[in-house]
Amino acid sequence: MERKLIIAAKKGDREAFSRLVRTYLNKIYKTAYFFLKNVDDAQDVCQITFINAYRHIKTFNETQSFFPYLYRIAKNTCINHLRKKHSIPLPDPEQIESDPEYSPEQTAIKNYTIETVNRALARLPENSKEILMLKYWNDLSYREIAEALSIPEGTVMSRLFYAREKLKNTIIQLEDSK
Amino acid sequence: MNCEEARFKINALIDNELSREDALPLFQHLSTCESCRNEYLEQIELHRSLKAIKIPEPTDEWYENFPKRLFRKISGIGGRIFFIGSYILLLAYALYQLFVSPETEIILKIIIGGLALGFIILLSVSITDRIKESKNDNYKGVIR
Repeated sequence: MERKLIIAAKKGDREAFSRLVRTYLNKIYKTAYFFLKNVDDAQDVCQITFINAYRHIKTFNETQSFFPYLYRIAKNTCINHLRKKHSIPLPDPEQIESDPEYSPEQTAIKNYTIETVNRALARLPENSKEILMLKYWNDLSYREIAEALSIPEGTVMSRLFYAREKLKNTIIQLEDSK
Repeated sequence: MNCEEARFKINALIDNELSREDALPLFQHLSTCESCRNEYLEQIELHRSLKAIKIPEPTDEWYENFPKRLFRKISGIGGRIFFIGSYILLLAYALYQLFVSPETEIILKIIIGGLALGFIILLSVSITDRIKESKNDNYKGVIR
């Protein structure tokens, strides 16, 4: 299905490209938000990402997945955006909320945990945060993460393992220091 | 299966990425090793907490209207390229005509030539600055 849409978009079919945009917009927004920590900037980056994707779609190989291609454009756009601003955004735990769908009992545990998890996440190295973002915010499989980051699936597995280990240890440190 | 191997595979199990062949020995190990069972429960808790993290989302309207806005923007960019391109060509043609015409006074040729030269110098300075800036880029080491 995706392949057909890409072929049609390459021929100039705007409706096909719009469908691709709708499919990946939320994931690209989350990616941009992860790098920029600002809703307005993330929205701007989404627009630039899809404009660039549209401009270069004729050179895209439709046998490949579309998301890794978009992800790389979005990441580069975010880096350029940060470069222009000459700043690296600080983590903003205040803006990150807990999932309202959890039951009150669960929420009580989770609010406590989420606050700590957020603080711990902010202390992780960038590549650990990035792989956790792809896994949890974008809900990607190992194969999709591997394609997005251009690394083997085995490396995804080990990076995720070490990212979680680091996160767990940081949470323990934070809880001990309370 | 030893504990180290089991801990590595617990992550894949939680992520639903473990094959059936790999899952069976892991379950056998978990049924006998309390330490790995605790690790499994801890990882599930961590997994749930990470899943529960939400980021501020734009409105539904933003999502709904995004493709329309995108194509308006793309059309706008196309229009701008045509306009600016044609403007530059027209300017270049007018300058050429001005310089080749024997009726144009020499003083006017000098003034316009000076303006054109100034513009070229400013443009080259700006390009050189951008190149220097990119050489001292703080994000150079960032993998893209």
